[in-house]
Amino acid sequence: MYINPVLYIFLVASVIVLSVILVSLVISYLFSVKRLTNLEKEQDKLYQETKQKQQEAIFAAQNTANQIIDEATDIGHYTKTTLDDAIASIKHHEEEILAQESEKFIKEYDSQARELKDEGIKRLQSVSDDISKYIDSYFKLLTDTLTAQTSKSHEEVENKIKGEYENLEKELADYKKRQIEKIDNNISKMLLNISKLAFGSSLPIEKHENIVIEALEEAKKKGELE
Amino acid sequence: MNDNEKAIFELLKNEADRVELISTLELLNEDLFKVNTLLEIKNPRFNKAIEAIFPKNWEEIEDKTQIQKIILDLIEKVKSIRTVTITLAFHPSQEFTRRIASILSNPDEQVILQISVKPEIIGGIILTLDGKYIDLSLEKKLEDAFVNHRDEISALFK
Repeated sequence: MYINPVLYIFLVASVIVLSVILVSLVISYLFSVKRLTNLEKEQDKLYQETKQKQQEAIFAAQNTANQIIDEATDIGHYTKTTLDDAIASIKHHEEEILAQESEKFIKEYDSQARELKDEGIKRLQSVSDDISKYIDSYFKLLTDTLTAQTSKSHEEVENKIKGEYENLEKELADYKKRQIEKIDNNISKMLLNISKLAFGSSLPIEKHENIVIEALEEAKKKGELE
Repeated sequence: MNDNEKAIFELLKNEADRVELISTLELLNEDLFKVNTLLEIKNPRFNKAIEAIFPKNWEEIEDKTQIQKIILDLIEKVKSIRTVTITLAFHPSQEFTRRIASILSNPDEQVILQISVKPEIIGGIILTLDGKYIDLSLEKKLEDAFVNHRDEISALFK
């Protein structure tokens, strides 16, 4: 097997170079690991330190806060007292103003009320007069109307009674006439029946025959039988 | 109307007489061609009058149809005699009925009476002839008198 010496050299060179690179990489890795471990240690240390400082700061802050609160309480008492005084003062002032205003208002109110009262009384008096006049005129009208109505009703009733009386008189007269006519008719019928009975039973046959013959001859003369 | 016919008609005084005469004449008509002599007429009232019209011996008659014609003509005349309905308050005698009939009859026209009796008409007569109603009763006269003199009668009771 024939290998080109150039190529052979090149290959050997390459292997060497690659080995050097690999070694350098391993070394570099080891250094890195070591640094990382150191860094972790430092980090833990820093954490512990930071935690300790934090606790210290918290304590300090608590102390400061307590101190501030205590101071603030004191300030609150002072402020409250001052405010109460101020409020009392304002209140007193306002009461004075209110009293003054109230007095003014009451006076104004009294004045207005008096005026209204006077005006009301005047108006009431006026209304009273008007009502009185109205009632008087109304009563007068009512009295007149009632008088007229009464008079008219009286006349109407009189006329109606008169009319009814006349109707009744007429009806009575008619009734009387009818009854009299009825009685007359009955009397006539009665007399007629009595006459019939009397004639019928009393006439002899000869008389009957004569009456018939006379009646026939008279009718014949008058031409009734033709 | 000849005298023989008139004699027969004068015998008819009511509707019953008319019916009787017509039936007698119809009987004669039936016997006309059966027998040679005039049969004895059963109703003596019409005997003479009928005998006066027809010859006794029918054989003498050559044409019997002439006799038949006379009979039928007579029946028609009897049927056509005017009927007068009369109402009386009493039952009339035959004589009185004839008297009434004679008054109502004319010389040329006989009447037959149809008589009814109603005592309530009191007296007088009511006639119905040729569709006319003639009230000649005493009842009518009394009623008229009471109507016409009602005021006077009423005044008697006041």
